[in-house]
Amino acid sequence: MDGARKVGGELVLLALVLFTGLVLAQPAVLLVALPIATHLTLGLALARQPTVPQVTRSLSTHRTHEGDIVEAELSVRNADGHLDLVMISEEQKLARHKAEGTTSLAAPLPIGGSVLLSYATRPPRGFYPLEGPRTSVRDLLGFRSWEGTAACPTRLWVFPRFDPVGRVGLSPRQTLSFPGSARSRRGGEGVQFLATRPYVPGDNLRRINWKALARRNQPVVNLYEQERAANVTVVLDGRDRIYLPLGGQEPFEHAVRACAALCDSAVRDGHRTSLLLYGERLEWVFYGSGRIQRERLLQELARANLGLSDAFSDLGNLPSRLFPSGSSVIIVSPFAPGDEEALGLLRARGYDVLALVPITSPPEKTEQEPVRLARRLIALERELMLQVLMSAGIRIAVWDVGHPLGPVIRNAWRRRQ
Amino acid sequence: MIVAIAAYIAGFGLAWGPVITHGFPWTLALLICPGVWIAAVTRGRGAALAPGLYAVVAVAVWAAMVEAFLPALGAVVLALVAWDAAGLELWMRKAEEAPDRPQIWRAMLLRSSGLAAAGALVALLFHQLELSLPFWGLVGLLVAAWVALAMLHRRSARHDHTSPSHTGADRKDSP
Repeated sequence: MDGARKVGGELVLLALVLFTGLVLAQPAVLLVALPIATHLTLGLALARQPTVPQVTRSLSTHRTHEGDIVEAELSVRNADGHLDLVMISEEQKLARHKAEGTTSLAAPLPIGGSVLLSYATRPPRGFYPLEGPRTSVRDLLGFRSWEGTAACPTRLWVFPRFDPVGRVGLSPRQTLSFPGSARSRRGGEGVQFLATRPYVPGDNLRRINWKALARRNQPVVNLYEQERAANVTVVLDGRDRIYLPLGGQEPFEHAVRACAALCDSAVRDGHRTSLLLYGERLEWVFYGSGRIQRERLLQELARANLGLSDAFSDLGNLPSRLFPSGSSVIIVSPFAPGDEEALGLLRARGYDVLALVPITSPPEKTEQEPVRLARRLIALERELMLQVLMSAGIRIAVWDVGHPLGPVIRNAWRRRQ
Repeated sequence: MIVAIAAYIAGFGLAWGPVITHGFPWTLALLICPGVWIAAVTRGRGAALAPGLYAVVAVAVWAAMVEAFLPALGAVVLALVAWDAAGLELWMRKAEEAPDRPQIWRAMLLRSSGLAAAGALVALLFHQLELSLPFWGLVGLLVAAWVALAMLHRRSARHDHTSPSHTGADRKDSP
């Protein structure tokens, strides 16, 4: 009950008792009103005007990965105001994932005094723009009170947790002129064998293929494939209708983790990497490389959510014209029937497409028969669709989320199209 | 919460005792008030606080009218203490931790019972004095007291809204 309601309640009560006493002409009833009157008037007079305390929040880190512990401290200080009682409650966004400690505290706070609230939290993936803790101040009897948010804004990024997938051997049709790890399909400096050609004066003697020389009786040199940077587009499918039959948020979280691992790997390999979130709306992180780009990509993935709009209900509206021609496109999605046409079009336009399909562990035996059958049907539909995609020249990587992602990705890229 | 419930039951009992014979057995129906109040307050329903106070004061007014002035005064004092105690309890219930809980309770009970008891003593004094006051003089006194209270209320509300120290994002102020 806030102060206004308490004062109003007692005022009404006082008026009612006085009115009754007057109407019934009963002095005893009027005297009964005296304790209420003194309680109200003296209570209001003794209640000093509360002020908002100074609140500072410190976090052990402002960027972390899901599952990590974040330690937070809230310090409340009463610099110069009158505070009989103060209650401070940390924002629900952090408090509901508390691992240990206290997230709300009530205490008297004299002038110059301070209280400390410390707790540890394990927040899930997300972006947490923290405004300030809920603060409630009141006098002992509650005649004057104030409730609001004490301003101490800060922010916390919780990135998806992922295991590094190592070097991914991309081989797009077109590469950039910078050095990288993508096979460029052009001869030059590199470690991957590409072909042989007749020796011409000026060639490095170390590259002479001695076995070929013995067979052909003329010098032949080995050619190696140049390794270049490439444009890589990672597409995270966030359409909730395709995740709902698989369990909703949990499979989506695995897709986000896979995207984070792929983005991290692509940026580490020096590729110009871009991220497209396709779901409720399009969220686009433009191509870039380096540590800042990696941070941008992870921030976007931290904010990724499931959603649906009519415009993006199927993959047909994927903005493929934004992708550089001949680049690599990795789409992370469980996919749904009808998506194969859009993927086939991408492949037909010359993109090197990898479809990464995260699948959850086999269903428990306790599942009811109709549910089990429905799951089986969904799995068969997906299997059929993947066969169609594979025949269209799209690389397929089916990732059982219980196993490491790295070998799955490397195998998919090693396979010939 | 135990303090609030005990004070409420004691206050209600004090007021109800003298009136039980007036209109028995219907006065037994009044016992539903403490039951409802205790159930609502233990479940954290702050909205039940004011009706609970009104119920006790109403029974106390009835007791005062049947010449049980002292129990009526005691009932009002206890009801006011219960009202304050329950308000504080509901407020503190939102906090996971309150390290100085005993000190807070002691200070609150001291202030609440002190103020209500002061009023009761003054009422007792007036009761003993048996002052004769003309009816319209009494009405004038009451109107003056009412105006003074309203002005106090308004002044504190204005101070509240212009206070520079209130810089919170979404404020919900007392008067």
